[in-house]
Amino acid sequence: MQVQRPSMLADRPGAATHAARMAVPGLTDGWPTRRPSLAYQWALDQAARAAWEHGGSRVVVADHPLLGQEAMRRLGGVWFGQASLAPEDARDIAALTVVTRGLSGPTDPRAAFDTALWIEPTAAQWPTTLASLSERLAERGQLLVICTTPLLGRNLPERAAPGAAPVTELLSGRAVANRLLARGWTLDAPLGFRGVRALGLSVLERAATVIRRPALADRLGVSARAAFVERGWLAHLGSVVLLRAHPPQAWSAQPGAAP
Amino acid sequence: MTPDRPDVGHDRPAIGHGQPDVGHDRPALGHDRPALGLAVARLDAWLETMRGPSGYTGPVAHWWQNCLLYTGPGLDWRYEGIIHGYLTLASVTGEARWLAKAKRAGDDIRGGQLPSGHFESSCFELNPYTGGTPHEAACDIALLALATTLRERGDDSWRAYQMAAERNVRVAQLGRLWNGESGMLQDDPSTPTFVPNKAATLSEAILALARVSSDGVELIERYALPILDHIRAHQIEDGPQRGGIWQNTYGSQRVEKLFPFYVARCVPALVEGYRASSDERYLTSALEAMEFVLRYRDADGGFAQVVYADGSTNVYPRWIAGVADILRAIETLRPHGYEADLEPTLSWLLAAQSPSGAFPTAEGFSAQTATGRPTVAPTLRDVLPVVGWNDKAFRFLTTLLPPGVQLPGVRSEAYETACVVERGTGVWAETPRHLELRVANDVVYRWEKGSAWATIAAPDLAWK
Repeated sequence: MQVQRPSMLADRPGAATHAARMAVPGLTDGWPTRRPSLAYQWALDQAARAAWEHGGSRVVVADHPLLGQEAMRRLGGVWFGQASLAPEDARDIAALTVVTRGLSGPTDPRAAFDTALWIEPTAAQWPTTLASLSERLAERGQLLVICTTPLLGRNLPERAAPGAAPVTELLSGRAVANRLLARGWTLDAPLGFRGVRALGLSVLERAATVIRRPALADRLGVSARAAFVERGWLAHLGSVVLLRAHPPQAWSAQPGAAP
Repeated sequence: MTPDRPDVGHDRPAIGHGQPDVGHDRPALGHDRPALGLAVARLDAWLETMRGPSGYTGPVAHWWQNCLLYTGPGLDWRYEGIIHGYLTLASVTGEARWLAKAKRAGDDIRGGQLPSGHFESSCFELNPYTGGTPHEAACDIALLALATTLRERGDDSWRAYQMAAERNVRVAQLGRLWNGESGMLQDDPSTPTFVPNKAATLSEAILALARVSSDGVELIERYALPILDHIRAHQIEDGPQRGGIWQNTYGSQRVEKLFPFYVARCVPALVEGYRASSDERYLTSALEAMEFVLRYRDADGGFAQVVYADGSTNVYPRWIAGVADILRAIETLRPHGYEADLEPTLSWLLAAQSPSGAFPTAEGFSAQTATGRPTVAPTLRDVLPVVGWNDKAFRFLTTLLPPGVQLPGVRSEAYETACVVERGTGVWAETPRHLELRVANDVVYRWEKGSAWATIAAPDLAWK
């Protein structure tokens, strides 16, 4: 993959994002105008914020075309570049590459990355992709995983999109969390999106609309939006779940850290 | 062309685009000119703090959705008020520095134009997505005003701004959203939705483009006026909500909500349609729309948020910075003999300016989900200073300045204020470098100005 050098990127306004856009497979006309559904929007925004907070280089692992592009818009298509404007080309490649189906692609084996965003891991891909990511994630790096919950997530429009894996092949947030914990990773509290509270309030909003109580319907709609993100045990009941995990060696390197 | 419509007149005097926003005779305001000059200077100082390398940045609060995590540049309707405001300042002060700022803002938009003709991150509260309505059309209006001003001043750079706007209007807007079969605009290419206020903004952009295009008559007759006719078809003809314009339709299904702010956003386009066509029905529609809006002005000058078909309302949140667009709508009608008192609303707006120079977004977001009055202290979304709302205050306030005015040199000042969130009452703080909300000893929201993402955003605050 051809990646422009930083000196070229900095020449004009929006150049960094332009370069990132050109590196995203399937995008020749600019970013898509269609948007993913709100649960994915929310998860992607939270993931991007976590990646930016962490700093360093980033890699996106995604099969779903729209979700992969949207991840790149946030993580690679940056206006204030970190990784895309980093001095080493290898970092550029790591930061600008959408990796599909098992980390294929001509990336520099020396390049470690600080954040990996993995969207919708499947059971079949899990062992090899996790092994590859574990090898290349920096010692204090972070793994962000966006999972679609089979039950509530199956009616999201993205599930019917071309390139989308069948929902039966996807690992749920709970399954991913258990697998990571079993391998010694540590996890932050998960976030769930579009959970049972939000769905219930949305149903009530529609009912209020049907019985012609528009003011009440609007209030219920806003309440549903306010309840859209779930924490604690309700998080895993969200249609989409975001996990943030840290590799085992990051903890073992810290004095006094739990094993 | 509609048979009963007068001929489109291209020999009419050009009013509006490319000219300073106002200059109409206006009754004396209750605010002295130095105070208005100071308010504008402080707002300009604050806008400078919100710039990143590629444009104006910052979080967004809105009625439907918020954008508190992505905080990078937004090439959305914020540029409409910013560019017009700086063009007006250049005109009334005669100082080149304001025109330079208008050009810098135009360069932001050009720098973010995609091969598709769309602009990057043009969806305001939905950012960082592209293809935002009415936001790209609002950018086009601003670019065309900038191009016209530069052309009049003999600055050859006008072509680049006009080309950017023309490409967006023709390719990204009409090319994507015009339904050739129905002969009407859609808000989304995949569904037959029509949103009058958004369509009005595009109609304004088309009318502005028509003034400088060889096919201007076709642009007006084929697109701009039919759009305005469709907006008029959404207007209530009689009854207690007379003059109101329904918020939108899905096919034949009408969404029976009336937002005074968005009804006011239709007024300038209807007036422009009248100027372009001499068809008095557009002016009548604009006047009736304005009358509707003013019926929902409270005694203190604020406006109700939404009115329903049965006459019930959700009063809150009441826009503060954005209310200036309602004042602007009133002013567009003044040359046509319309009189309305700006004063209660103008005073209400000016009283809200914070030490940073920005105006808060709204009052009463806490009452959005409940009946009754809002909490005593504001919420995060109330106090949040948003460029895409403050541009409206900036644009309008600059039009109140007299020719020859010199703005004082001021800085954006830091301040703190109480702020209510779900977990309790905290402290909202703004400095020239950051926005921050603390509750007890926890920082629950923090954004370093200019950066693309919030540094800290507790999940319970991260409303989209």
